[in-house]
Amino acid sequence: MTTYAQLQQSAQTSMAAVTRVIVQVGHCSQSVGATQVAEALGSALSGNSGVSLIIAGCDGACFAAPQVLVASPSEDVQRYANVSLADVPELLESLPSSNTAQQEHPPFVKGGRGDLASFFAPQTRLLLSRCGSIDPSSIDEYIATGGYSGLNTALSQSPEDVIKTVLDAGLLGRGGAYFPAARKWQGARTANDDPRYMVVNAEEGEPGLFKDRHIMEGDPHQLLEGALIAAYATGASQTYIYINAEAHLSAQRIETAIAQAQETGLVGEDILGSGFDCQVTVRRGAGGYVCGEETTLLDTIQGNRREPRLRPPFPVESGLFQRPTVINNVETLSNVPMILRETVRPEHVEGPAGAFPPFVKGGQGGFSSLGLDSAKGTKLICLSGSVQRPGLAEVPMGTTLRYVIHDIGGGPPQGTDIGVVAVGGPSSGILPPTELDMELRPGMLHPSGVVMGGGGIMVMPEGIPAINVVRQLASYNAAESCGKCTPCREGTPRMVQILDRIASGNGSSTDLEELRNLAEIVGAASLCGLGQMSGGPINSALHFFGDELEKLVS
Amino acid sequence: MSITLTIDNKPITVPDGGSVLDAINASDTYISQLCKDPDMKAIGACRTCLVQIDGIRGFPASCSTPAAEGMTVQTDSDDARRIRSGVIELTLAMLPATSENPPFVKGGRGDFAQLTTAAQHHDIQSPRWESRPREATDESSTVFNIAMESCILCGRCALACQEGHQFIGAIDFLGAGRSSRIGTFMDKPLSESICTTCGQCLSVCPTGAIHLKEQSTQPVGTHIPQGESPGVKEVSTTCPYCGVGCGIKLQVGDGDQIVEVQDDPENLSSVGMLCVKGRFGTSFVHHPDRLTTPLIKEDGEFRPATWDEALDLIAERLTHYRGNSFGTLCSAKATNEDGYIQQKFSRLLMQSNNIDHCTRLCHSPSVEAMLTSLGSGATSNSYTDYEDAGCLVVIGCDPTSNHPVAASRMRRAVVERGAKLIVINPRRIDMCDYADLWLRSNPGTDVALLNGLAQVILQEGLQDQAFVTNRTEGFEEWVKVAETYTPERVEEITGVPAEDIRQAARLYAQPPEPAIPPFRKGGPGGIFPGSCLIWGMGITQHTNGTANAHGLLNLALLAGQLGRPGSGISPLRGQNNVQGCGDAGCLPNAMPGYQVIGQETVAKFRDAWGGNGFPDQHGLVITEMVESMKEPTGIKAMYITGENPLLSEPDLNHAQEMFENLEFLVVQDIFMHETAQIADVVLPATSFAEKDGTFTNSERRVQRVRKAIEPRGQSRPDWEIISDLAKRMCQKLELDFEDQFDYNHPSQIFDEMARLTPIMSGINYERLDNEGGIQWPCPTTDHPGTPYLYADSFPRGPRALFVPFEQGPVAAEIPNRRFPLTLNTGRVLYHWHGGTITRRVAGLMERSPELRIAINPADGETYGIEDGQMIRVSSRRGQLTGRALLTDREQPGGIFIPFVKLSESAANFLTNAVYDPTSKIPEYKVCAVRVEVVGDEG
Repeated sequence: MTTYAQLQQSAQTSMAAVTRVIVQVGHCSQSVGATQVAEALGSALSGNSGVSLIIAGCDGACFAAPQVLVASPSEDVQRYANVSLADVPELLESLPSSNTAQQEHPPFVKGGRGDLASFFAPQTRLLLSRCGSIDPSSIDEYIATGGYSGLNTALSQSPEDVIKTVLDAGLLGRGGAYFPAARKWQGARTANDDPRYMVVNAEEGEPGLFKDRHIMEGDPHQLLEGALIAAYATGASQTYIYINAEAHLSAQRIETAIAQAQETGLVGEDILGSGFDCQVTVRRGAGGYVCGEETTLLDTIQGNRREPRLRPPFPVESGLFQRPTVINNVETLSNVPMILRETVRPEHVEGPAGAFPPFVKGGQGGFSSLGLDSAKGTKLICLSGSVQRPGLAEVPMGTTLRYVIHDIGGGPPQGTDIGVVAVGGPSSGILPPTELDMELRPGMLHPSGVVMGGGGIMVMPEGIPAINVVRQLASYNAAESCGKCTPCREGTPRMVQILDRIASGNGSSTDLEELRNLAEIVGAASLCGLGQMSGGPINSALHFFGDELEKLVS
Repeated sequence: MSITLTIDNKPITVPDGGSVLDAINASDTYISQLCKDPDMKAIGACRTCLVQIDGIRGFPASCSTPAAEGMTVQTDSDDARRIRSGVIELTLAMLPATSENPPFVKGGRGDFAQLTTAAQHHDIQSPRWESRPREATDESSTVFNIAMESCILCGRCALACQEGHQFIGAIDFLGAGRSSRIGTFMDKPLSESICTTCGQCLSVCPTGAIHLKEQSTQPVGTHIPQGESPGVKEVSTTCPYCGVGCGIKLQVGDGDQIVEVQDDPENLSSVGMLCVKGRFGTSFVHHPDRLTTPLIKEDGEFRPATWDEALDLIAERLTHYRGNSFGTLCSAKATNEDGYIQQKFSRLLMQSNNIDHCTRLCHSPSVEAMLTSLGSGATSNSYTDYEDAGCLVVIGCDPTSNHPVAASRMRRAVVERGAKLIVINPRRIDMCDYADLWLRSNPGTDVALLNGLAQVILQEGLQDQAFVTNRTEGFEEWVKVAETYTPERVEEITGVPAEDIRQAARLYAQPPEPAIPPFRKGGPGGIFPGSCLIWGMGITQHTNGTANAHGLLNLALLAGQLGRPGSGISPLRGQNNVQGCGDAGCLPNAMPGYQVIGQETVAKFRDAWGGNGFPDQHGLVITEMVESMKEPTGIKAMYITGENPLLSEPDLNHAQEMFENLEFLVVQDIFMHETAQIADVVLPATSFAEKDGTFTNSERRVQRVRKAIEPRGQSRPDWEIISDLAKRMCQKLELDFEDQFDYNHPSQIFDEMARLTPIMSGINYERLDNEGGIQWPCPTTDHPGTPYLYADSFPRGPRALFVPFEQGPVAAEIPNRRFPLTLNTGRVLYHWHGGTITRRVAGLMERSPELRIAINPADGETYGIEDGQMIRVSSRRGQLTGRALLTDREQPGGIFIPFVKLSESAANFLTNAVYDPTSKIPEYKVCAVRVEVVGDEG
């Protein structure tokens, strides 16, 4: 049996004092050539013992992808943005030679559509502190930066105490419903019916969301650690990580992390000598937005058709294979280790080179001192569309839309204005630019059906008709309806039908009333969240863009 | 425990676990409910039963909301009405438009009653939406269509096909969202799917989207919408096909016709399920071929006769054959009461114990072995035990074809409960799809295999030692034989890999707990890692049949898998009342209730019946009776009811020769058949639908048969005919037994039988009517019946007996150069036994019109046979032709022919009339044949 202290000791040695060339290879940066850059650097640097090439995940600065970081033990980190294959020779030139560590080298001048510092500085990065800086395929780097100390702490306490700690910290579920995470653990624990299951919802099928993939690609052990703590608190001996069918890189890095944790004694039997057993298995998504709905997710793990179940019974009573089951989102669980840890970074551990901005002191204080009284901690926000710096940002709960779009995202590109902001994806609503002072927090942001959801914000430039945005969101809902319940199956296509008619100029004034009526019926009568929330785009459009729509039907 | 809640200000009490919808329905308040089937779990798809409940946000669906104490429910608030109304309007727009007032849908089947009512209740006056396009109708089934244009995608049919009832999974939703539709795997036509045409989907369809085909409606068949009565009357009775004993509700329409058969959710054996034969196979009752008048043969031709004429003739002739020259064959399709009267007639009046029935040809080895080892010859457990078991061993039977509803309950055990399933069969039967292990043993090697399983249990110490020590005897002697059957040795004999034998033994002896919580708890504690042994003719119809059956019993005794819930031994009975026929005493060696014939028993019945003429020696079994016909002292006169030995006996050419020696033959049946053709007098009996009585099913459950329609023509119930005959004979013989056959109603017969039969003493018609079926033993009227036997002791005493057997020759006839293939016989789902009944049901005939001869593709290649070609199969005794079906369900070297007679071809022209020495069962399962192409006619 290995103790945590021993693990930590052996992990220290692995982050040896060499220059680290870190290529951020993520799901999206692959599509702009990150893999090729990494390969070119890899073959150029092979045999160079003073430089180690690290394939990391992305740090969220999508506008700057692919990024390469160069971190030498003695110098500040250099960040290179939008690196292409053609830039590689020049980049190699600028590397400090391993023999002449102090050698002057010219700063890399290429690239960067935006200003990295302006993107990162306004953020509060807890969850993402390692993303893009450490090697996600190295458990040692995770442990060396304080990883698994939360699990170690948890295992020294009773599961009930762990539940209490996390309840007191005020961790709400980040999947969109913001239900207290540890309340689920408590529910499944008291169900007292072995075996129990822990399920990680890494489906993330909503358009405009890419936060969970960043965590899995950039810091998979952080998720694994959180899941293990949750499984311990719940009394689950089996954890399933349910990863979107298309998120291959996430799955690959999570599988590697599981294998390493297994080898290290952090997954499997008698974890860290605590007597706690937990197996972790990856399951891939069955395809479709509705698979993220938790009961649908469970049914697809069981090999059934992707349809939501009836509730009650709730999964904590009768979930996977009719056993008590906790389902938590990736982001939710990734918060758990830091809550259990007394500090994010024990004194003797150096933060990963390139973590940016530098570590925020964490622990209960760290998590709980941030955010709102009603919703603690930070939230990952996926900012996309018509802004200068789109990407993945981390901000305290309660941050305004304006702060995210303007301060972090740099606002709309020069010469354009914001037309419509879609917050929370197709299961939410749309806002005009006048509403940017709205705080991002759990619950209804606007009674017409706008919610933060998973934290996706899509900015559309002025000139795009609101009806087009609504139509797009409604079509998505209609296309993703599983077909089980009548109102969603029959109602969502009827919404699209009417929106089409209006958009093509053939609408009548009764069409708006009919839309409102449909939105109410489908919302009130549908079986699961997909249908229940499908009225959001329509109702919010009728509220905020009523004049524009009236004009179209008059 | 119950829950009281308020529905629209009215207090309503429902049982614990009830839903809000249950409470609403109990309150007589109307609420629309399109997807909730009364007998299945909530689906929650139609969203038309939404209500408002104090303290619950929004509009919960009442079907899926559990009732809670003190809940306050409003069903018809303006808001709830508006929301439901909107959903109903969207539902209506799924269907083709019509100008008619609600429901604005066409389809012509008038089956939209529930939707119409829902629309009217919500004051929907005109269509809100234009109709949307739908998919084409699947017309490929021979019995029903699936018309998507009338489908509201409620999901009841898919649920019924799956875990709601049948666990078949032929249909499900395909596509998603608006392109959702009902279809089959890979979107193939229904006829090419695994659909068994059980019609469970049709029975639950609320709109008639799944509806009977027009051509199948003669005469059983306008589809009656669920929950509605066809008008005249509904009669609950018991299915006349196999031994599972499903409850059926006959819908009788105008003209005294059965117009539809519905399942009976109240029936404890079938719990709402039926198979294709039960649901669509009863139109034979109205078939024009029904015998409607007595027939007397004169100069080789039958002529119609009056009952007086016929019965007087029989009475006169039979007076000459009293004693051992008379034999009678009773019917396992007739009622207990019919059987009781027939054996009473034979014993009391004909003074003959030469009484037998078809059990001789199916489970006599099981019965013999069970009588020897345990002292009682019946299934020890109930179907519910399958669902509580940790492991099912299905050996030598094909329940999907022959006991479809029992098979559904086995699938439930496997799919819903996670029970392990071991299939032992040379053929790849459908159950293999659900099996954890399939042991493909060579035909005739079961003794070795079963000994091998026991050897592993002994070797690995998996036996229930306490059970062996306290409740068995003969263990030491048996072990000496069993322990020599090492898995490796058994592998050589059986062809089953040694490792599979080991695994099977472990699973059977100590199965893991079922993975999924129990669907219905079988007793205290709920989960029983018990194991059930389930077997059929593959065990019994061998020359080593009794040895095979003992092998199974030894295994159950060794592992202690008897006498507790979730365990037990189940010889699946083939005919609807083969259990009851034996119970009623239609056996050469036992009086009713298995009271073995001897001085004491005979004395008891002489006291009860009067008279002193009837014999205390055991009579002949049917196969002995047939062989004796050629002897001068053998059987000279026979009275056969509801049996057709000239189709069911092995080696039919030989059997025909034997029967032609008879001097006098009476056949009493509902159709003219091969045996009736050579009779002197043929009497028309009523079918199950035209009489009262009881059947006893495979799980020993006595169930009522109720008269639904008047007898066809002049037909009369068997008990009535024989009683009438008996009285005429009493007069002729000047015997004083007339009052012994003086019954007005079968309940009087049952009461007499119960009085004389300890195992059934507590059962009477009143109880059966009030409580449903009762499982014997039921010794007193306050006894609830016995779901499983042998909890504390055995009928033979405190200890059961191990009986050792060595593996003998695998069969009497083994393949050689001239006859290189091994023939196996059995049944197909769409036909009943020889087919006398099912050939007269159009929907079944269309589904299975000709004899299919199954052989392995490798043999097809060897003998130049292509799939679908007409081939001739010959044995040393006869031949037949049929269409080749190349399938890897058969082992190379194996060939399978169902024994149904189609186009003058019947497997029993080929089979071998050799017998198991103990039980006298013929070896139907193994004989040597050859095949050749006769040319392609198709």
